[in-house]
Amino acid sequence: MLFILFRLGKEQYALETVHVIEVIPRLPLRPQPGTPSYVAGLFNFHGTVVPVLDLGTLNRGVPCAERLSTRIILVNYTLKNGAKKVLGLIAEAVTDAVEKEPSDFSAAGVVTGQTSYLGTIALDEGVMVQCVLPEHLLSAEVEQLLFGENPSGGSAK
Amino acid sequence: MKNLCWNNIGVMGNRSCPKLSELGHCRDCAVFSQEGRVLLNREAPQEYLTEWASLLAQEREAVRCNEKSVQVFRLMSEWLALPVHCWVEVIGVHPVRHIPHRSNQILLGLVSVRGEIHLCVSLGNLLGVEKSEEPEDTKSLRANRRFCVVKRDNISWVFPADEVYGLISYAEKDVGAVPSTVSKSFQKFTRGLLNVAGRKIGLLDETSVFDGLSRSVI
Repeated sequence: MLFILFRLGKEQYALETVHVIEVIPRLPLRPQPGTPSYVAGLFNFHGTVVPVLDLGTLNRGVPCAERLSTRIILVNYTLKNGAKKVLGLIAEAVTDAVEKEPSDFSAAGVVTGQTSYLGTIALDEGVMVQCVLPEHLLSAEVEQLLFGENPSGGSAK
Repeated sequence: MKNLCWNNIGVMGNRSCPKLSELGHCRDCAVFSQEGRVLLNREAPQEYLTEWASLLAQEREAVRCNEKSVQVFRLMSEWLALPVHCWVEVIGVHPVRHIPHRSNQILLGLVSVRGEIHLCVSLGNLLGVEKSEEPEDTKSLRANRRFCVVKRDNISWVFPADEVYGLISYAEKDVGAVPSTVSKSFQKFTRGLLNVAGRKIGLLDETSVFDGLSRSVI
């Protein structure tokens, strides 16, 4: 399995490439008031409005630094009702990909309610790399906020 | 603080780095690629980001894949096409030597292309392309006339065409059915119709065309 590596603060994380559509630069985003702080904003992706999460804010309360290596990873996100959407994830140092076997990963042992998106851990050249599970990133309420459809056409409030 | 070891002990320096014998070149070294990554720790230029934003905002073009290329030519009033891999070259009009007792409606004779002798055939007569009723402006027609050299199974054929348009590519889904109103022999050699810029182009079936040519000569 191929993983995209990225960093949040000092920690290394990985995202399996089966979820990834494309990696793009960290574009200027349109802020969306009323959403949680880790929703960095929206942008126009070939005519579809795509919400972008800042994994730095989500993970440790500090937004990702604005650098060339800070990029938006576009992933296929499956809603709880089964619908498929595009979701952007801002992460730092998105410059590498590694090949890992499922057997390289072991359970982290600690799973809290808020961090259920963090999965198993592997060692990459002595550095701990933790898997991010995109399908657990959003709670049902936030999902409704970002992708919910109401008659007025905007996001449900 | 930059580690510029490739300038001192690497390929740009005195080549004394112990890793060099193993790796061969600094560009394969982890130190070098790590330093390269540092370049990405700069802030992104604003124009770069706005350019990307406008690029990503554009509607996606329809994905073109599995396309095939054909060379389009004209016989009388019919536009026809043969797959590019059959083509050798398009040349000017050459004199055709009649073969006594052998030449017929389809086999016109022999043509010498830079000293190489090829069979010259009339594709129009094989396909049964009818002469157009429009009054022909003979001068311009003669100017556009070309001899086409095509090849299959190591046998080359030369046929005169009234005009050679060029290459087009098409997707299999754009191929329309051949209308039943066209002549029987034309139906036999055509596997579909393409509509390009308001022009109907008959896609020739290479197998039946070349088999038909071989049969007519033997």
